[in-house]
Amino acid sequence: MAFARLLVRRRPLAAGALGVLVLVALAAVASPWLPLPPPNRIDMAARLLPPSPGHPFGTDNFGRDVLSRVIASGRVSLAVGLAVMGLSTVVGTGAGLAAGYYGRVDGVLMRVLDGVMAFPALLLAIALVAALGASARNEVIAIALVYFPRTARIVRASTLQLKGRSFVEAAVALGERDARILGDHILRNALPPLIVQSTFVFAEAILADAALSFLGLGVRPPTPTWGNMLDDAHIYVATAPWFVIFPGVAIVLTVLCLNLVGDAVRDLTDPHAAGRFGRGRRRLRGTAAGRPEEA
Amino acid sequence: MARYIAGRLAALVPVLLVVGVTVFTVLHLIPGDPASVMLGPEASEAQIAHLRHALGLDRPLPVQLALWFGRLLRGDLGQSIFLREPVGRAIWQHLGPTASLTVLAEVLALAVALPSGVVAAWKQDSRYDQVFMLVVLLGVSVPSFWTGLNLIAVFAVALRLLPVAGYTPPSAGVGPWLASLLLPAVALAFTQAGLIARIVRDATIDVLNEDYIRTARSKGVGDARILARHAFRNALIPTLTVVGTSLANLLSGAVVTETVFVLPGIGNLVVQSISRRDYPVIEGVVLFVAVVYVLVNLLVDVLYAALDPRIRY
Repeated sequence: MAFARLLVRRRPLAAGALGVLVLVALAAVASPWLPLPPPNRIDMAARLLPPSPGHPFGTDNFGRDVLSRVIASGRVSLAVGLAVMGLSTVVGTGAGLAAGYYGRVDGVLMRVLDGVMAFPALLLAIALVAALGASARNEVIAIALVYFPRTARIVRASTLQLKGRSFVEAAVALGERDARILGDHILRNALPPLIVQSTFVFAEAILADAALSFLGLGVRPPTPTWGNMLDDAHIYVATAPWFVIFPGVAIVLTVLCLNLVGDAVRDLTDPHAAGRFGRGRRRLRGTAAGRPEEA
Repeated sequence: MARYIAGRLAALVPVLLVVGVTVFTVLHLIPGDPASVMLGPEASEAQIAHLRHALGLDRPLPVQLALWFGRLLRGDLGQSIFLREPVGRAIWQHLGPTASLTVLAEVLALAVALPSGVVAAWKQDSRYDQVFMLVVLLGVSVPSFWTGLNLIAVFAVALRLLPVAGYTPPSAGVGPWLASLLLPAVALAFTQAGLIARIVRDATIDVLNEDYIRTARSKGVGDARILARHAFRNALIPTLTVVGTSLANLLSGAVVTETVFVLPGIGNLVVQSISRRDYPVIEGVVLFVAVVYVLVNLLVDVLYAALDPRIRY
């Protein structure tokens, strides 16, 4: 909670973004119990109606309530984002610790990861889902596979740097087991950059999910996702702009808030780190953590 | 320098090997038999067996991998199932719109990112800088296909200034060609401009803290001249790296954006090939783009070394 106070005081905008994220997540989780029309209730008499008190976000091409569908989509899109974040963080951390700590596997592992990173991320994810078949599970696997090498590189860099620190050398000299050294001494100290990276993976996963579902490669309708709503909507861009605007705003709001929070956490935990979007504002000084060397 | 380039080229071999094996594996991840998947449910046993043989799927996997690499080294990307032509030729025919779109988007992104990033660095932590950082973050948070849809709604549908969709080749005139690319290029450029501008800002801030800037200032050199002559030129070098990455992002992002604007580029080729289950084309495009990406990054690194006299190899 000390960190929450720090966030509110130093980065009020990011604290607000965190609040918005909590609201979006709560709405998504609680969506079946919210006093809204069911997201899949078709009413052909009410097709493509503009926003009104009855339908604050208007209706879609099947007369379904866009607000209900945007909120229900959050369930799927956030779940996909969370699953990708979890999977790529676990796999990336494992690979990064192994590569950083055991010199023998480092060369081979890093060459493999370099190879995966040689693909433009979205294109590889598209090809993978095309091969595996469109489903939520395959989408998560594809996106996680594309993003875990970045996490692995960050964990590897922290591991390499921490390995030479005296408290790790002391643990080795005391004969502690590798698992304990890696978990208690290295991973614990490598957490801040890992948390920041996971936030960015979450944001990227939401964007990738939107693109894949827009192309018909994600979760299939009638289950709504922000991306497949836009796929349905894009031919009505001239006649029913609300149908295009609201799902997009939901994506932008979620991703923007994740990026704001990730940026703020990075700046507050490591004022020197050059992260994904470059350096933070110089005048901020946070709880100084070790500075991971650039991978 | 020659030794550096040779070293970098040698380092490409393992990367390209992994790239190749990955793409090969993706094709063989297809659940069930690719031949029957490609031909659809109405295919006869004989047709499936014939295609299996034609694709070499009846041979052991390592043999397939070796043969596939052998063909790759000769520049043969295989045969499209649906288009009935070599994959290489299909890619070549769809390259024009994607290449024009990527280059135009990169030019637009740089045109916005360079000046705005330098000014943000100059006025660090000012109100302008704060707004700048928020817009940069917005840029990387917006799906470019959605930006594209909004641009269509405003500039094509409401204002009728530009075409809604479609591609006019440059042979039909430079004006119409640019008009057909402007909206998708702006949609793609927004995100890339954000990424580049942030790097420009950070690089300029770093340079402004250097001793030679203080020296110039103490000699009485004016602000504009310091920015243009001393800071900007040195800040360009780190910016170069991000341009390589952003070109690759653009190629990838173009896949979705081309669909929105119905541009007959590589992205459209991939998306159509997915619905046609034309796996050799998907494989070929992914491989092609990955190789372009690797080569662009190599070029950027070499340029980097050539431009910065402090870097010696």
